[in-house]
Amino acid sequence: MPQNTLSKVQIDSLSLVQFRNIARAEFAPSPRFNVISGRNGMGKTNLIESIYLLGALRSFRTSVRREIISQGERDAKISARFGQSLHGLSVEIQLGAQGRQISMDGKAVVPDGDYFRTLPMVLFHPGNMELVQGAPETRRRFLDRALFQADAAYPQLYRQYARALANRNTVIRRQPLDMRALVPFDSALAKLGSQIVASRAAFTAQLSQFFEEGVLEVSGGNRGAIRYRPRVSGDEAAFLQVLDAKRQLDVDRGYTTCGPHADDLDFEVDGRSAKKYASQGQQRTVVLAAKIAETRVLSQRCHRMPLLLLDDVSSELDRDRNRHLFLFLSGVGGQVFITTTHPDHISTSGERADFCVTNGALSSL
Amino acid sequence: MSSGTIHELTALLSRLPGIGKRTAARLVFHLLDADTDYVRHLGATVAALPDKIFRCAICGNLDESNPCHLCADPSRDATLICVVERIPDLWAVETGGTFRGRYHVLHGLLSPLDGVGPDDLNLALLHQNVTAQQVREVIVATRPSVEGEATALLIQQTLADTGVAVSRIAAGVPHGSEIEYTDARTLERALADRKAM
Ligand SMILES: Nc1ncnc2c1ncn2[C@@H]1O[C@H](COP(=O)(O)OP(=O)(O)OP(=O)(O)O)[C@@H](O)[C@H]1O
Ligand SMILES: [Mg+2]
Ligand SMILES: [Zn+2]
Repeated sequence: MPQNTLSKVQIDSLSLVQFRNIARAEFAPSPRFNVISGRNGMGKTNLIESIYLLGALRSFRTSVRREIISQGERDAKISARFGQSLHGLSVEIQLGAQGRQISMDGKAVVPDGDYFRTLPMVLFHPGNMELVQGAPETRRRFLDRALFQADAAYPQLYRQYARALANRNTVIRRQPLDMRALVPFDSALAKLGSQIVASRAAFTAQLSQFFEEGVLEVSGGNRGAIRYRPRVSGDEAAFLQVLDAKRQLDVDRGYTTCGPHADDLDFEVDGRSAKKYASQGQQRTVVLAAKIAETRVLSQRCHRMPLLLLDDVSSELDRDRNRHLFLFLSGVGGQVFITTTHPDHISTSGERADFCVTNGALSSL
Repeated sequence: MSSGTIHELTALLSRLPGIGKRTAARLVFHLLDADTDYVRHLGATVAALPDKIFRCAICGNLDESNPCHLCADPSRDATLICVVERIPDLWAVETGGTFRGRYHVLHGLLSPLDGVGPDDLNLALLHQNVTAQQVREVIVATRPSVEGEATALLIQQTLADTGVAVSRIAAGVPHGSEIEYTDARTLERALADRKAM
């Protein structure tokens, strides 16, 4: 497919007000590569964070709204106009003491499952290097974030499950155990939990295919796979059985031990668990291939190329894997934002705009 | 009127849901400018509320009589009960006009997370009515949220020993939306298409 007809998420203009150390910024990025340079602590990651917030409606660095608003100010604002297949859609997010307000084309919206599918984005940042060795939560977050964008039903399912889980945990912490209150939430967890597991299983299967391709490309010979390891698998009835069997254990521990909130993923290289056996270099290959796979699955599921946010990743990858990253980026044709302290090390091919951030002020180079 | 009275009324109004200090103050100054007959009428009506409005001992509805006018109406089918979370939901179903049974108001949904357990809902009375009135069907019209569904299951459990048929309004009501704000046509259809639990 020629690149100019590829449907993609593309920001035509971005404006920030009182976002972290950025008092005010107007930004007209290139539809392809945008290289944002600046010394440490100047505001490069802040810029990436603001764009990510438009797609994910949350930050990847904090869950505290106050931290995002410039110190001493009362609110922050991110506005963007999306071009190309989004036909000039404008999205604005206002963060204040009261809460968060989102509007699309000037109208206030309550984001539903389709919101995330409309603006798919893939973030690649140094924190992702934890994907292989980190706690299961790191991998669940990777999976969930992708599923929020890939599956319109998932965001609601996820929130409902969390709500049911919190209710069940409250019930089991109270003595004596009130079965009348427990049974309804066991049912809810079984129904929602089995749906979450089904979504995750289908998604991981698809992701694994692209991951296998990615690992092969990057390593030049290794075979990769991603295995979904659900804590409980099966249908609603199977879930109910497990909840029943673990009831006493759960009461003793004071929380629900089994369910999708305890799931994990296994990255495999040549049939062996990367967590246990992969070398440093292989781990970097896994992370890079996982991000490549995420991008490809999302572009398939959302019918448009995600916007790509690369925060300082070149410094985390060696020369060879950097070459593969940029090979991949040249091929996909999406809009890319790359931050770096060394812009001359970023070897892009194709249209490129260079910007510089100095103490929160953005300028075109 | 001393400014103490203004402050006091502002403080009283700001305890109402959705009314902050600023709105409360605006309301007070609006009342000070308004027609005095209107203000007296408003005050007297508010003052009479505790003596005029009663909680129905049968269904939990609030009305000027106890039992409420719905429970006292002999033309309504006492063997069919529609269970709602709160009174505005009862009104929403009533607006449709096709439901001719009786109601039962729970005054809440099962939500241990928010401190609402089975004993905090108006369930003992429901059980009692179902047994005493030879009720044939109980329709649970709680909203389709996690707590609304859990409450429906709790009601089913609570009434299991009575043998009454328990049904749930159909999924026509959009998820997470409130019964009160669901349009009458959608609500009518959800009632008509109810499913046995
Ligand atoms: N709420 C806030 N108000 C004002 N300034 C803030 C706020 N939050 C963060 N900052 C400032 O923003 C700067 C950090 O910016 P950022 O993380 O984007 O740096 P960076 O350019 O990515 O640096 P590095 O190259 O080290 O990653 C810090 O100087 C920090 O003090
Ligand atoms: Mg940074
Ligand atoms: Zn009544």
